[in-house]
Amino acid sequence: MNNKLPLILFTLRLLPWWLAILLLAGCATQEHVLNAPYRPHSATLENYRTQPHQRVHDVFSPVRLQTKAAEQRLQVKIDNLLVLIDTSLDEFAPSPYSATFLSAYEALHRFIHSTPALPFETSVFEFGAAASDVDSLSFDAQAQNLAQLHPRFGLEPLDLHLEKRQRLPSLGKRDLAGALDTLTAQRWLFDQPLTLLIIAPWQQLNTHSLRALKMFKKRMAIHQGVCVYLVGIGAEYSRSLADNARECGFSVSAQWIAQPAEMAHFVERVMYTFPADSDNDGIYDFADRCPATRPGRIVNRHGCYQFADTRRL
Amino acid sequence: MMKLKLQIFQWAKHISGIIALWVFSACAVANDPRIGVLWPEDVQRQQAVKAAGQGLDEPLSQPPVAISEPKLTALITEAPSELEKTVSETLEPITLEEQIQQQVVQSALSQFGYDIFSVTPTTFAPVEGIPVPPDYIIGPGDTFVLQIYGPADVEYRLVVTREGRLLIPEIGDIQVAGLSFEEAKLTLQQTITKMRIGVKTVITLADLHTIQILMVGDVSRPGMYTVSGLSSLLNTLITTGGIKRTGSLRDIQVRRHNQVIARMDIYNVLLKGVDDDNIYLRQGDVIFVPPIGPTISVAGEVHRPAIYELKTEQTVADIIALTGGLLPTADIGKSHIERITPDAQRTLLTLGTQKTMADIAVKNGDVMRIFPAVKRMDDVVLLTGHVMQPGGYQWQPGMRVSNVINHVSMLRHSTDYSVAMIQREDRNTKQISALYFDLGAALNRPGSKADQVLQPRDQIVIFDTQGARQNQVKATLNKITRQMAGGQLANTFELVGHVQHPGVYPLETNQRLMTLLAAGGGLLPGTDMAYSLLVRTHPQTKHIEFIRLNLNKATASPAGDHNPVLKAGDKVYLFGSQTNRSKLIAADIARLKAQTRFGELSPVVTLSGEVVHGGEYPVTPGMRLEDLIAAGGGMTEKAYGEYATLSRQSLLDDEQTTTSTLNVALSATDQYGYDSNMIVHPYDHLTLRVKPNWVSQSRLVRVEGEVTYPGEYRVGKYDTLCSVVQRAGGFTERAYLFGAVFLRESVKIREQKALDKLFDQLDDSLVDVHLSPGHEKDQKLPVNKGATDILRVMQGLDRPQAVGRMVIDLEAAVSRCDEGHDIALEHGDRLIVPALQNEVTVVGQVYQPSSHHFRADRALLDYVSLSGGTKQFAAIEHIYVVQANGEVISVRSSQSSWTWLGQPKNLDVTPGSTIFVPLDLDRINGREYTESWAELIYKMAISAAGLKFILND
Repeated sequence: MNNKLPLILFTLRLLPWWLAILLLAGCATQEHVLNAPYRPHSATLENYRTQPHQRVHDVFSPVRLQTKAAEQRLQVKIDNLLVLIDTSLDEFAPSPYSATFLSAYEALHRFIHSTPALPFETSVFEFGAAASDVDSLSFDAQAQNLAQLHPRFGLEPLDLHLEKRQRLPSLGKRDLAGALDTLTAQRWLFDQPLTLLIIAPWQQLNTHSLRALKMFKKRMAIHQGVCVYLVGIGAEYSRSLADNARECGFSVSAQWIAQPAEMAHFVERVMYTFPADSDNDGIYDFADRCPATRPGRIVNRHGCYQFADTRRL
Repeated sequence: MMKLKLQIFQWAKHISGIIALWVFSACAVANDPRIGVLWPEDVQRQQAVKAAGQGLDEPLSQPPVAISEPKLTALITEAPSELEKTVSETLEPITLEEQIQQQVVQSALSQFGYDIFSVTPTTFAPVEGIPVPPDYIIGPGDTFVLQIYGPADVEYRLVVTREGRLLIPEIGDIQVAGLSFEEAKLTLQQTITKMRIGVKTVITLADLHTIQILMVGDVSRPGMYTVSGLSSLLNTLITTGGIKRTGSLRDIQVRRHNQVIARMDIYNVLLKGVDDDNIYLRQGDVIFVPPIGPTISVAGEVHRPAIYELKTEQTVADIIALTGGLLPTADIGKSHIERITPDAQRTLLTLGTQKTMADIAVKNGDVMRIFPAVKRMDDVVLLTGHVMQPGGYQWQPGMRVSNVINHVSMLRHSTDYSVAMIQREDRNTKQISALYFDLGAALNRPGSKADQVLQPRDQIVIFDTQGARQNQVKATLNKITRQMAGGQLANTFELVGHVQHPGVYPLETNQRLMTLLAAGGGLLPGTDMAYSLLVRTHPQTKHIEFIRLNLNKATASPAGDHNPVLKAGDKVYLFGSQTNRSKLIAADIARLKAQTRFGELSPVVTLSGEVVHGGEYPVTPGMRLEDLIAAGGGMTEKAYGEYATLSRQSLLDDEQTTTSTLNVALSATDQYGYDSNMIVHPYDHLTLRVKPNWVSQSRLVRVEGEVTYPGEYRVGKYDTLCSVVQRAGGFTERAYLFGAVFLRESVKIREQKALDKLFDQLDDSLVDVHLSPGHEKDQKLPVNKGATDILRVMQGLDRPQAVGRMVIDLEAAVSRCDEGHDIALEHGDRLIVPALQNEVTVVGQVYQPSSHHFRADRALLDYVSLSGGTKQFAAIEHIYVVQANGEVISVRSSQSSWTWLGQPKNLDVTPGSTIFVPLDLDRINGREYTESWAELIYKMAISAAGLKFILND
C-alpha cells in the first residue's frame, strides 16, 4: 500500500496532463472524422478508365460503294492498283480485331472488301520481316508492263484470298526502302497511271524509305505518274512524312479507316474522283435534270437554264 | 292688391334702370365703327343722328354718364368661311396624291339665325333723337314741346295727361291721345292758331311715352316688358334676349286686341334684308313665338352649313338657296339626304344632278350631306425632282417627255441626264408602275424611243447626279409596295454595293439588268466585272438563291444570260475592288443558311488565305474553284499560284461527316481533276498559301558610327552581322569595337515586359507591406516607415524604358564570321560603333560623380577615390562596373578575390566603363524587399549609365 500511494499521488498530480492528452487525442480523432474520412473501400485512381473511348472493330460489314458509285456516276480514277503490305506488326496485335489496333492484313482485307467490283486486276506483295523469303515478283517476258506483273488477282478472288487469311506473294524480307528500290529497278513501261497502296507500320517511314519513295515517283513520272496512298499501322496520331502538297495521294492511320463508313470513304477517295458532269455545266449528272445544256449559259441548281430563253424579249 | 302694386313699382324701377343702360350702350354701338353688321334699327338710328346733326330736328340729348363699351367679341374675330377654306386648300402644291375622303363633312351644325340674339346687348336702348314716325300714336306720358312765337315767345314742355289731354296754358286742354303724331300736330296747330292770332307754333315731341308688351312663347325670357313707345318688333325681340332655339324664327306673331296683326319671318331680314313685318309695337301688344317648325340640316359644301327651319320651302333647290348656294367644290352627284322614313328607319336619298334637285321634296328632319369633289387631278402630267419648276402640266394626247421639258433650262444644275423615271398609273387597275428612260436622248432626239409618250397622271421624276436618290423614289416605292397583297413580292429591285446610288428602286418590267443599273447611277469605274451576284427570291417559298453574273459577258452580249431580266424582289450585288464583299453579303448568307433544312447543305463556301477578300461566299450553281477565287477578288500578289488546300466536308453513309483535305492544282490541269476546274461543294474551304520565302516586309538594319558607309542596309535571309559590316565597308581606324552597342527591337520588347512586370510586382508588394499591420497585434496601422518611404520613392519614379541592348562580342563576330560568333540579323537591328572612349565615369554614392581619363594603371577603387570616395550610405561591397560592351562586373561577383582586409578587390576597368556605387539599401529598409529594390536600381543603372555616351536620343 505504501508503495502504491506515491504512485497514485503521482498519477493524480499528472492528471491534468492525462486530461490534456486525452483532449488532444479527442481533437485528433475529431479532426480525422471531420476532414479526412477514412474509407477503406473508396475508389483509387486505378479504378478509373482514363483511356479515350474506343469503338469496337471486330465486326466489319462493309459499306459497298457500288450503290453510291452507280447513283452518283462516280468516275473511276485508277487503272492499276499495286499493294505493298508489311504484316510484321500483326503478330504483336492483341487480337486481329483489337479496339486500339488494326492489323495490316485486316486493313487490306477491309479495303478490298469495301471496294466495288471494278474490272481491273491488282497485284499484292508482302514485304518486311513477316514476309516469306521467296521473291515471287515476276514479269511477262515480252512486254514489261504492270499488266504483266505477276502474280495478279481479280478483286473478287483477292477478297476471297484474304477472307481465308492465306499468305500473300512476297518481295522478300526487305524493308520498305528495299521493296521500293526493287520496284524502281525494274525495267518496265507503263501506259497507265499507277496507284500504289502501302500498308506498313509508321516506323517504316524513315529517311531511307522516303528517299526510295521519291526515287520511285521520279521513275514513274517518266510515264503517267503515281499516286501513293499510305496506311500506317500502329500509333493512331502519327502522320506521314510522305504527304506532299504537290502530289496526289495522302496517308491515313489504319485506325481511322477501320470502320465501314470511313473505309468506304477512303476507298472512294482512292478509287474515284468526282461524279460525272457530262455537259460540263457544273452540276453533276446525278443532279442534272436537264442534260446537255449549252455551254456558257447560267444554270440553276438542277442543271437547267436559270433564265428562260430570254432572247425572244 | 297693395302688394302687387309694390311689385309692379319695383319692376318699373328695374326696367327704367335697364332703359337707362340701354341708352348708353346703344350710343356706344352706334359710334363703334368696328361693328360690321348693322341691324335695321341701327341703320335707322344712324340716319336719325345724321339728320339731327344738320339741325333739322331737336338737338341730341347727351348721355348723362359715359359707360364702357359692351362686349361684342363674337363679331370681331370671324372664322374663315367654307369658301376661304376650300380655296386655300386648293392653293397647295399640285400632287397626284389621292387623299381618302370619308363621308364625314362636318362634325357639328348649328341652327341658322339664332346667333343674332347671342351678340346683342341685353339692355334696352332708347329711341331718343330719331324723328318721330308719322304713324306714331300719341298716348299718355308723351311730352310735347310747344314753341309759340309771334307777339310773345313762349316755350312749353307739356306732358299728355292720363286722360289723353294736353293742358296748354292760356289755351286750354286738347285731346291728343289716340291721334297719330301728325294728326296731333295738326290739331294743336289749328287750335293754337285759332286761339291766338298771329302766332306761329313749332311742335315736337320730347319724351315719348313707354308701352308695356308681353313676350310669350319660346323666347329666352318671357314676361311683361316696358319698352319705349318707339320700339319695333325685332328691336324688342333682340333687347329682351331673343328667341330660344326651340322657337320659330319664321312665324313670330304680334297680337293686338286679340288679333294677329303681324307675322314676322326673321329669315327675310337675315337673308334678304326685308323688314316689312317689323312693325312698331303699341301698348299691350303680345309677342308670341311659336315652337320651331320643320327643320332641315345641310352640311358640307355649301356657303352656310346649318340647320334651317322650313316655312314655304319645298324642294332641295329651295333649301340650297337658303344656304346661300353650293360651293364650287361641291359634288352633287355623290351627295345625299339622310331621311327618317315613316317607319322610323334611316335611309339615304341621292340628290342626283343640279336639275333634279328642284324636284326632290324635303321632309322635316332631313340631313343633307353635300360632299366635296374628290381631290384628284386628272389629265395632268406631273414633273418632279431636280427641275426648276416642279408641278403639273396639262396632258394632251400624244404628249411626250420633250413636250413637258421643252428646254434644258427647265432642269437644274447637275441633273442626271442618263436616266429619269416615269411613275405611271394604269387607268383601269390604278396599279402604279415605273419606267426609266434616257433623259439626254429624249431631249436631244425628240420623238425617239427614249422620248416616252406620256399618259395622263404620269409623274416624271428627274434625278440628281449626287443627291440622295432614294428620297426621290421613296414615294413611288411606297405606292408600289403598298399595292401588293400581303406577303407578295413588291415590284422593286435593289442595288447593293459599288453603285453611285445604292438602294431599292421601282422595277420596270421586262427590263434587263444593265438597263436598270442606270437607275442606280450606272456602272461605276472600278466595279468588279467578273463577279457580281443576283439574289433572287422565290415568290412562293421566299427562299433566296444566289446567281453569279459576269458583267463583262453582260456588256458583251446584252441579250445573254449574264444580263438577265430582273424580277420583283431581285437584289443585285455589285462589288468594287475595295469592297469587303463577305461583309456586304453576310446578311443574305445568313438567310441562306437559315433556310436550309435537313437533307441538304447550305450552299456556302469559305475562302481564306492569300485572296483579296476572304470570307464566306455563296455557292452559285455550277460554281468551280476558279469562280470562287474570282469571287474573292482574285489572288493577292504573294499567293502561291501552284497549289492550294481545299478542305471538303462530306457525309458518310451513316450520317457521319468527315472532313478531307485535298491538294488542288491552281495553274496546271490535274489528270484526276483536282484543279481549279473542280466543282465546289457546300462547306468547302479553300485556303491559298503564301509563296515560299516571300518577303513581304524588307528587313532593314542600321549601321551607325565608325564604319566606312554608315546607313541603312537591307538584309536578306542569309545576311549576318558580319556580311553587313562587310557591306558597310568595315570599320574606321577610330572604331572602338569593344564599346559597340547592338540594339534589337525584339529584345527591347522583352526587356520592357520584364521591367514592367518587375515594377508591378514591386508596387504590389510595397502596397501589401504598407497596408499590413505591424507584428504587434494591436498595431492596426502601418508602422513600417521604411516601406512607406520606398512607396513614396517608387511612385515618384518614372518607369524605366528598356533600350533593348544585346551584349555582343563584335570583334569576334566580325573577324571570325563563323557560326559561334556571327549574329543573324532581324528587322530593326541597330549597330552603333562608337569612337574610342577614353573616359571612366563614376556615378552613385560618391561625393562627386564625374568622369575620368582612362589610364591603364588605375583600377576601380582608384577612380572611386578620385571622385571623392564613397559616401556614408554607399554599399561598397556592391559596387559594379558597366563595361563599354554592356557587360557588368560587380565587386561582389568576384567575391573570392577579396583582399584579406575585407576591402573589395581593386578590379581592372576598361575604357568607356561606368562605375556605379549603389546606395546601401539596408539602411533604408532592412526587410525582405531589399533584393527587388536592388535589382530595380541596378536595371535602371544599366539603361541609364551604360548608354549615356552613345545614345543621344
